[in-house]
Amino acid sequence: MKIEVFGPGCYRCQEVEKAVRSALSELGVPADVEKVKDMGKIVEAGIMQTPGLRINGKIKCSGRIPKAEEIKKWIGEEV
Amino acid sequence: MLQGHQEGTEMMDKRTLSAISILVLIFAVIIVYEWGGAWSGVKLTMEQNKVITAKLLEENKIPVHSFMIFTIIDYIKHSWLCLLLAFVAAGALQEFAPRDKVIKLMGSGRGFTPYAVAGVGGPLLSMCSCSIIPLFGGLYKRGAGLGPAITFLLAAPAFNPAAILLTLGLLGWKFAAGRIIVAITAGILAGYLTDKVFKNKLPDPEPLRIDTEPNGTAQEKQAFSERLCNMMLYSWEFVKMVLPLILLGVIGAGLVKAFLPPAMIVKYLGNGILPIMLSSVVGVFMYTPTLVEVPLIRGLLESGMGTGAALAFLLTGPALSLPSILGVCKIVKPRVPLVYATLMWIFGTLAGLVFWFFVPKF
Repeated sequence: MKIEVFGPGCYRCQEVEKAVRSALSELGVPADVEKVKDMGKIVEAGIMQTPGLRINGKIKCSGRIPKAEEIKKWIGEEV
Repeated sequence: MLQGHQEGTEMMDKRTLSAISILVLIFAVIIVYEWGGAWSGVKLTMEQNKVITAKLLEENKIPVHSFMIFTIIDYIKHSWLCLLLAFVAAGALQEFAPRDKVIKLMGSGRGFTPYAVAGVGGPLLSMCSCSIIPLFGGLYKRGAGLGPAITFLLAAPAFNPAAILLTLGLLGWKFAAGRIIVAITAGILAGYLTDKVFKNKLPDPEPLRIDTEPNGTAQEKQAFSERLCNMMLYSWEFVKMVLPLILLGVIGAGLVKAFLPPAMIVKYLGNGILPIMLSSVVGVFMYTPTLVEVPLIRGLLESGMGTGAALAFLLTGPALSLPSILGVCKIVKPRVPLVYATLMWIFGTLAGLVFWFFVPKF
């Protein structure tokens, strides 16, 4: 599974990455977590509001910090 | 982020209404606080503070650490209420602001409307200055037009409710009002002129594939109490994010007061056209995180910075920085940020001169 966290590295984006990693370790699902900081790539991906979260190429949320249960649900959908 | 489309207009209006009523409430509290005589008290302590500081400096008696502590206590005294309200306002915006509506309005229509929406509605979209560039890119690539996208990029950080509230608390209503007027005017003008300069000279942005738009992000309708809860959560997030930065700004202000001789500040950042130009250009390049500029400027003002130079920095400081210019370069040609940065420098200087004329003294 490929998980991308989009954000220039501000506080909110770091929170999303942390939440993703803890959700993964709780579920025991292996995944590639990538942090995308490049502005060009963020815009290319169609993320207008950071932080953004993309799992397997599908944008799951943007502009907010998702709750832990939401992240687990999305990961479950993609497994 | 597209929840608005699913929710329909009725829900949207309800959200807008609650957001507006919360903001009105916040401003009402502030106005009552101001009229309650609190302001005169603050003014007085500020004057006393200045006199005492000057005297101690003359006698060369104050150790640096006590200076820091004085500064911090002084700032907390003046800003805790406004800061608290700023955090509440930030949370309320995050939860209730009709983002999709603003984005849509900015992208549609020709003429002046998108500029006005970008200038005035920009702050509704983003509180965190680092999230402004992707929004700029998204707006531009989705055909909002270069001009309104730039207006948004420049006006949003300088004119967000949290920054304005903090300005009101630490610098007074004249600076707060000046900031609002100048940020909107300069943002709209810079956006419009840059658009004119590059009219038909830039290739149309490659349109983004719309199929990348999220479908799974629609949240279920939430009860109002739940949304209030979310709002508090966002406020708390904002506190965690910004409070350390503000402390940094306050410490910076303390350092300025302790180490920079007032004579030097008066010489380089005092009144007159050269100091205003200088402070405007420093603001263009220096990276100032949201809200940090306010305590910093207060420190400089107390040490003799001119009002014009201060306002110029308040405009260009948060709106532009070298990192933000470099980020924008990845989306558009480097010539574009060059043009709007130059324009903003000029506008910052002009705004500083006008403000100095109307408000010659802090």
